[in-house]
Amino acid sequence: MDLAPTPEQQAVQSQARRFLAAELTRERLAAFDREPAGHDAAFWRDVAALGWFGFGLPEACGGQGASILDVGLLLEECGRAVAPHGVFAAIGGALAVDTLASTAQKRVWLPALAAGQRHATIAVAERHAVNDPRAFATVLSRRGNGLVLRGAKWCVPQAVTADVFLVVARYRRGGCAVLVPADTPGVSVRPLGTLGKDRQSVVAFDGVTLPAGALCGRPAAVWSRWERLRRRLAMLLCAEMVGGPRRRSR
Amino acid sequence: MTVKHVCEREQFGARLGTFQAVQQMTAVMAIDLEAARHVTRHALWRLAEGLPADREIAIAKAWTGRAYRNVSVLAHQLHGGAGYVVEHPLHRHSLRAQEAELLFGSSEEWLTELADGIRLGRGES
Repeated sequence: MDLAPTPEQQAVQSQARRFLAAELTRERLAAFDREPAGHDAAFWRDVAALGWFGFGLPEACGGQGASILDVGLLLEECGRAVAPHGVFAAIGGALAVDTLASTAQKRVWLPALAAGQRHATIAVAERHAVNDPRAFATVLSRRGNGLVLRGAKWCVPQAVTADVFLVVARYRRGGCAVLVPADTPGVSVRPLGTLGKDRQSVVAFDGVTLPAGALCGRPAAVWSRWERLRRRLAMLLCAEMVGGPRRRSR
Repeated sequence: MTVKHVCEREQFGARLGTFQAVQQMTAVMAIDLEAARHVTRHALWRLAEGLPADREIAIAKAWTGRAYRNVSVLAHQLHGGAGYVVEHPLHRHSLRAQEAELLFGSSEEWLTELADGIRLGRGES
């Protein structure tokens, strides 16, 4: 096992380090604190142009096909510079769509997510959180040829800027995942004050009507896939954390 | 950032870094961080190679969450008043450490998962 970064990985890291050090000045970070999104549009465009949002996505949908280790090394740099939370949320949201969504959904969403033109986020946690889909109070049911989603998800990262929510809900006696565009009637976002400088919200689904195609694959397979994805996201978060204490003074 | 601070800042007529207690604290920080970096890269490497990694992930998330929090607490102690000021970037790290330790399962949850794995005889992968 060789854990030393390759020259290619070092190049990605040093480019990211230079970019973030130049952009994220003290004044800029203080200005971001006052933005509802936690960043501004110019920063988002610049990050998108660097290809970070599609870095770990398949090349066939506009990504760069980087491994999870490569994405982790990039996130180390984000942690070092305490980059806005939206970057991690968007990278994680796009990976979640790539892991859980149906082929048809991926065709629609992944190119835009990879380019940073659209932003997906994950809505799983609930107020009375138990990590078991059978205990979820957010429930998907069938109505005619379509679906209805009722309930609320808590602590949804970066919901204020999300174009689509990947919701893990209860379906019959197990779990399921659905993709819900943020502008669907019945969807509402309420920002949640948190201790950190992250942007979390409560996202409520008030009898939201969805087409059958909103379902991400077979519900029976979703929970084990989500658990695998949660482990991958936890590791990417670890990579970001590892970067934090490596900060150098300017 | 903290090492540079204790090498420059003078208190009690000497640079902070010349006090053994301060050196000890920075050594603890360095050890926490190096271990976190190793377990994290190890788990990511196993995932990238398609190898079983559940055990390594549990170790990495449990350790790294605590390490980042410990390191930021010690950094606050060593930076003193300067670290209390929001113009200083330290508070951004300590807030993120608080949040990241809880996200995707807290250190306690991952330690429980690790202990269950050991109890059920899932040894080294």
